[in-house]
Amino acid sequence: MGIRVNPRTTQKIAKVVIWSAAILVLLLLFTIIIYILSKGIPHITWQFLTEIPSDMGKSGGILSAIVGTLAVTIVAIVVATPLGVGTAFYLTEYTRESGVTKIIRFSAESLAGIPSIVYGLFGFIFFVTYLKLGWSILSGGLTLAVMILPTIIRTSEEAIRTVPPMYREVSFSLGGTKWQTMTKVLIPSALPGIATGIILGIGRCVAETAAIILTAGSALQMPTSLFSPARTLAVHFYILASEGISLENAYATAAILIILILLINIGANLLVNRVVAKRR
Amino acid sequence: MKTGFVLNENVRTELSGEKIKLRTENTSLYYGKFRALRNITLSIKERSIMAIIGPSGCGKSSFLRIFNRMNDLIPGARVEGKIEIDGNPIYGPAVDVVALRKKIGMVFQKPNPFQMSIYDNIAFGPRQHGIFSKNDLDRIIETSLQQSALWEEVKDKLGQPAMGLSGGQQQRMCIARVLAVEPEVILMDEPCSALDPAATLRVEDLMRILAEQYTIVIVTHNMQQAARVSDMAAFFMMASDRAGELVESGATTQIFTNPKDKRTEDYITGCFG
Ligand SMILES: Nc1ncnc2c1ncn2[C@@H]1O[C@H](COP(=O)(O)OP(=O)(O)OP(=O)(O)O)[C@@H](O)[C@H]1O
Ligand SMILES: [Mg+2]
Repeated sequence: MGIRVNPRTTQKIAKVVIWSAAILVLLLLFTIIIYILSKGIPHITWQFLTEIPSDMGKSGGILSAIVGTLAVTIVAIVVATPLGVGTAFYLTEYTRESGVTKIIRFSAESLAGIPSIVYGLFGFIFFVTYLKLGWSILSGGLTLAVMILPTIIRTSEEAIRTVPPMYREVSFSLGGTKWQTMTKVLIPSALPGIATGIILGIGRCVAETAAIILTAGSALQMPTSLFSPARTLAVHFYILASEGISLENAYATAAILIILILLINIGANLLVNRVVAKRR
Repeated sequence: MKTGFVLNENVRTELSGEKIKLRTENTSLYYGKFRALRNITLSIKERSIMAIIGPSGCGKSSFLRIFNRMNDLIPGARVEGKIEIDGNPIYGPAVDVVALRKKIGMVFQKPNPFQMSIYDNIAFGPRQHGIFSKNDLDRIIETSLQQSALWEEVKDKLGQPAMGLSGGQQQRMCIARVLAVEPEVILMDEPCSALDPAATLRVEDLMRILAEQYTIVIVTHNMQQAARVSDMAAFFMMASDRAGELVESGATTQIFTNPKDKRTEDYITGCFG
């Protein structure tokens, strides 16, 4: 027989351990964010936000990188959302568990674990070279779409599965078709979960470097169409820092990146909350 | 046989001349390999209330869900035999399931409003069937709520979330939601089991009124309720292989006072102690 520990003592120890873990993680996160913001924000000027980089990024601004980031991300989300949500609906509503669904799910899960550079290589070979899209916003966006697809499929699928089965039954029993049940009952109920997947996807797109360099390039000019090459903020930061071009501008870029991600998250949450509140 | 319960006074014992609305003949239901119902032959008359009674697990809910084809949603579920509404088959390649379900509404055991306003809940069915004009919807919603005896309680808060209603009100709202589709048949699976006695009585009164216009099939574990509201009753029981069988059916008065089968008598006397 082992030593008996008073359950209240165990409880106290557990409490201390759990709290310490939480506080440690919070401290770590805040330290990183505050460190970068404090190093970066002082270098952010109006000019920095509104000019395109000059002299390899040593001077000038980052407007083209901001535009590049948004453009690539928007392409990725616009392509991946309908595909991912559609696949999730196919898996949960339009088919029964079978070999096919297992294969789809297995592929999606395997894809989720592949390093992004591999997606970059695929994008380079397929979109850039084979489809002759060149280094462009389109190639980059499509590559990112493939990359975030598994995340969107999985989160949407989970969200759809958490809709009480009762709602489906009620909708069908009132004479609803599958399509009506999906659009009027399932999507609204699963929306917060689906949105989470999309937000995670946006985060990955905005933060990606390797896959972008291989597919969208690292051009400094302002992109003018979907076929223009582009540089994103994360790529810009990577090049500025790794090639020692300008550490100040690298931090300033990182600060903008963090602020952008925060804004996207807050915006998406507000949007979802408003839609959900309207339905309650 | 002497039992101490109140029979429904409005009961129409002279049902023989009335039209048959729903009918099964030698109907069996399988969940995969498991046979849940065996050779059920039962007729349900138009504008009457049929009570389905029997011990738990004997297949009452399964039987009810045969009519609006809710079992279609369950992988592996399969029916055999004849199942008809107004003499037309319910199963078969030519059947329009959406139109069928519009004709046969269902009230579930647990009140289950959507997370929408009261108005949108009741408008849900009509909208699915292409009614969008505000005037039409307003009219349908008022009529349905009046029919389900809820109008006075909610007329000033139609825009509020249905989740905010009490359980009994929610269930009456679910009934209104079914009525809004203008069905001909209403299937009710233990509609009062989540309600308190007062709310139960309100729903029972409502059922009697609705039976003037609709054919109602109700599953209930409450024998008093079956006796109070139904015109006809069918007693189901599990055979030794766990398949549900119809032991006997007939006018509620007969089933409750003068059952032909010993098993019915035992079950009913068992329920009343
Ligand atoms: N989806 C299903 N898959 C497999 N078997 C099922 C399914 N639904 C019900 N059954 C089985 O069919 C039989 C009848 O079930 P059913 O729910 O119709 O009984 P019931 O008479 O309504 O019971 P209760 O009074 O407890 O509601 C049971 O043995 C049950 O286990
Ligand atoms: Mg049941």
